[in-house]
Amino acid sequence: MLTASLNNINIPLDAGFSFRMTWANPACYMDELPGKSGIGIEIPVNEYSRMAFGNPERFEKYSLISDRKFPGFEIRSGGALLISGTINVISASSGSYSTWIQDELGVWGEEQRDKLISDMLWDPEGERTFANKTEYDDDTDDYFPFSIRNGAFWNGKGRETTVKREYIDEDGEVHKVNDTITFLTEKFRNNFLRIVNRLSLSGDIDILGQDNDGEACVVSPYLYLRRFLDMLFKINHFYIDRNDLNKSGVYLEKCLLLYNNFNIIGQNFVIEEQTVSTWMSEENEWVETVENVITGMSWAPETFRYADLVPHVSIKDLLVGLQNYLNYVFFFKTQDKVDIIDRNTLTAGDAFDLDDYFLGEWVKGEQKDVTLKFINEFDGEDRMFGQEYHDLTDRRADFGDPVETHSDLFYLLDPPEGQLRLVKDENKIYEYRWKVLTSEDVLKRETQLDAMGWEFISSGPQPYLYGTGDKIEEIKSCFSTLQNVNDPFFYFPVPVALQQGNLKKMKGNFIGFTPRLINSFELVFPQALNWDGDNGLFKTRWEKWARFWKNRMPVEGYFDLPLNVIYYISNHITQKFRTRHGEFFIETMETEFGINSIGATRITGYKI
Amino acid sequence: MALTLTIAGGTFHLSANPIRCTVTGASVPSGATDYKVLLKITSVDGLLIGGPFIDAIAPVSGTAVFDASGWVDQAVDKVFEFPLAGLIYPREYQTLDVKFTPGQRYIDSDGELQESWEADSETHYIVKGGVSFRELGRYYDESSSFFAEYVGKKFITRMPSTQVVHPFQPVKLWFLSDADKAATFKIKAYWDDDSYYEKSWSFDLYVYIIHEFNVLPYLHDSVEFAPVKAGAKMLYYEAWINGITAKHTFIVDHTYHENCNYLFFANSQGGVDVFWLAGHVKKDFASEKVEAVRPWPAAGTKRDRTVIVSSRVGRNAWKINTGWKSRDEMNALSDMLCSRQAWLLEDAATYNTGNLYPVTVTNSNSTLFDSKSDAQSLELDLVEGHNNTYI
Repeated sequence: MLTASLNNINIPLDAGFSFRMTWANPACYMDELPGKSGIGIEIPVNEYSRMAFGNPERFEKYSLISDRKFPGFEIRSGGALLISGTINVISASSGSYSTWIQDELGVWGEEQRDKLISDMLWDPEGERTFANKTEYDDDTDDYFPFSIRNGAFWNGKGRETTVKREYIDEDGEVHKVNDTITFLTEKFRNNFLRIVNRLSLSGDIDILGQDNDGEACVVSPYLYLRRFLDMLFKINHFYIDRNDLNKSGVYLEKCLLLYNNFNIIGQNFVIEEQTVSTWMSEENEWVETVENVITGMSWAPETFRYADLVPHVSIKDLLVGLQNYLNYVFFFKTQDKVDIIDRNTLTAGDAFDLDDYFLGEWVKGEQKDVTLKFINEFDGEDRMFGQEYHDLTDRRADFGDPVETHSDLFYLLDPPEGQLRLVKDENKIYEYRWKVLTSEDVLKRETQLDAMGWEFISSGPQPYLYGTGDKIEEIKSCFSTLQNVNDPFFYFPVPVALQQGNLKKMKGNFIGFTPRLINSFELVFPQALNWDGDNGLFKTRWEKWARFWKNRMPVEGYFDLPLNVIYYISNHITQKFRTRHGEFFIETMETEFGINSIGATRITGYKI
Repeated sequence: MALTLTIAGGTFHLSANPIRCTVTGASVPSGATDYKVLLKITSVDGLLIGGPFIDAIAPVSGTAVFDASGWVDQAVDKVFEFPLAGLIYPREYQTLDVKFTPGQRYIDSDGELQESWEADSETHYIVKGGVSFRELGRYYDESSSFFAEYVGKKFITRMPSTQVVHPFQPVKLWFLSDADKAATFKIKAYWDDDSYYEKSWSFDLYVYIIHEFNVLPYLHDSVEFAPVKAGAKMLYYEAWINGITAKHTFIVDHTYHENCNYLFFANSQGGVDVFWLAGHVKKDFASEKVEAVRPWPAAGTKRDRTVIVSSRVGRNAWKINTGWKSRDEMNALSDMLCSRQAWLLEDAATYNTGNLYPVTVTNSNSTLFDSKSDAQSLELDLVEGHNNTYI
């Protein structure tokens, strides 16, 4: 028997009451986090419902939007919970309230719609103290100050200075030019070799630098991805149940860090009042003012907040972005639990047999033949990715295999005209084409020559494409990674950014950073966050699912499901199911519940 | 403080009726929020699909009351023995063996989710079926239950304890035991020459199965239990589990009936009852077709057609009168009229014969009793449980 209650008070229902419940499989959605909902709920006006929802006439005339939402609503069948959440009254008449129910995920989504994850309560117990250690592990630590190079951190901060920079012209001659950079940028170069989280000889984080004064030191703790997710859900009162990010041994997911450009090193200023003279040309005189001049700084780690270490994105963008990058699906269940499910393993899992409940015949749709296009949003504030990005998807047939260095291009024999090649260490794409060479002689006279050669046409990397279909389906993610560059100091590729940083002292000049992951175990999992290659994301994280997804066949069928099986499916909706006709994934499930009946369940999905 | 689980109605439950699981002793730990009492339902024998099921309820005054029936009201394909072969058939897969576990969950002062579970309950047994709300009310008023009234005491049937049966009617009785124990089943028949014959079977009762008994005496001894023995007619026979159940009496009707059909149906307590349909029979065949038109072929002959039947299905349908029945038997028919699983044994006038069809009883408004008449009967509308493309 179907029962409805609002905060444990039973609401009598009409004898002919029915409502439709829908469930959706998050594994089949690339642009949203679907929840479940109950729609078409007509609650009769009676003394019980009037007490709960108010007088319908008054309600229609005077209620505000917020007055129409009632949390704590439940519908149960035979005592089994079908849905709980907030009942939303759309309209009311003298006979009934027209309503629908939003589950906990929907309520949460609505609450967070206009908020950023950085606005969440990351630090309920106040600011945190940095633990400077020689070893970090995500089993015990929330963050890892992994070393990256970012020569632009101090750009735009503090006074400027002029430095000499060498460059080599086309004739191979070395020249020196003056560059204007900030003093701290110059200091960071010399004192810390532009390295954020530079290691000391003893293996912990060097906060003193080569000059032993700590000046321009940058320490950015990067939250471990697994810890970050754990905390993210916890502060929103969701708790991870199944977690496929947890594996045994050494694995990539354990080594992933969430990038930020926040410096936890603080500056204590030594200030002296000094008289500063300024020549005012219009008045033709010197004007003297007394200023608090910073004559010195001491540098030391300060307390910090996790809220400063997370990107400024919405929860939906973050979770969908992560799903579409690493291919782990967030499945929100009842009782505030969330499963993190490896989508790439779903095709290989066991199928739950629904054949005994199958009614009629499957209705098959047209099998898809699409090309999947994996698109990452690169950080526009990071000059490593530059402003010279062009989407070359239309020219995907022209791409040859990537090469490691620019000089490798010149060893290619007879490249066809129009061929495109990614140069990995530069993260740039070159085209073999007709170009114009310009040279100067000693008298600065230009000479131009027509030539065939490699010419830069876009920064990379490009969206990853899989499939041969004409129709393209985009799988977009706000996540990306940093550019790895071979570094003479490290002897292996290190992440490099050219991005201005943030610090407590300059909160007003916030430099945004997009969600990016750092692979802190590049030696073991080389290029694991790039799409290409045997170690790349596509091969390791997407290939099995993408193979099914690009050629999926929509199907629709009806089942006579008892409540216990509906419960099972709704709690395991991401897994495979089967009938005698074969295996399939559910996309949506929809059942009409009556007072004493459970209608046929309509399932739409994709045949495997 | 430890949670205490109390499950009303003993250890056997009808799946469609509320299974009240009351958890008491709940108290919110200091600093905790979102405190809820949990109930986990776990299948012991693996027959309940989809578990374990976990429900959570915010307690009121330290008590949370769960209704577990929704989780366990799983469809069961009833089975029964026909043709008859032996006395007892254990139906192991007709009960769901489950355990209930109380627990609690809350978010502690550190924001961590805490979940803890108490010990499992003893095994409970779920039988597909139910009783009416009126009956539930009576159970409540009298502090009784299905378990208290039937399990280990009575055969699970709504049929009256005295029925009129055909000499070769495949009579069945079903029994649930409250404990594993030895028992003796007895059948005793009486003839009109004042003779009688009794036969006993010693066997073991088990708590986790439904016991199906084939009671027809002729099945067990065609000589000693013959309906007509040396010219004497069997008047009636009794069947019972010695010292456990009351006797069920079956009055043998030796009158000639032109039609002899039986309706097996899943009763509301987990058994399968057999109802003798001794009245007139009208058998129909309902078919449906879909026609399609095709062009006249270039080399068409007078045997060719342009309208073809693209699909055709058909099913048997019967109108069968129950024959005259007692008021008690007619009242028991309501159990059959609510049943979702029924089978017609057609043309079964002789021992262990007839054609068995799964059928649906389609009657909607049925008069079970009319005080203007001394004897009652009802015409049943039955349709075959298949849409056949071939017969």
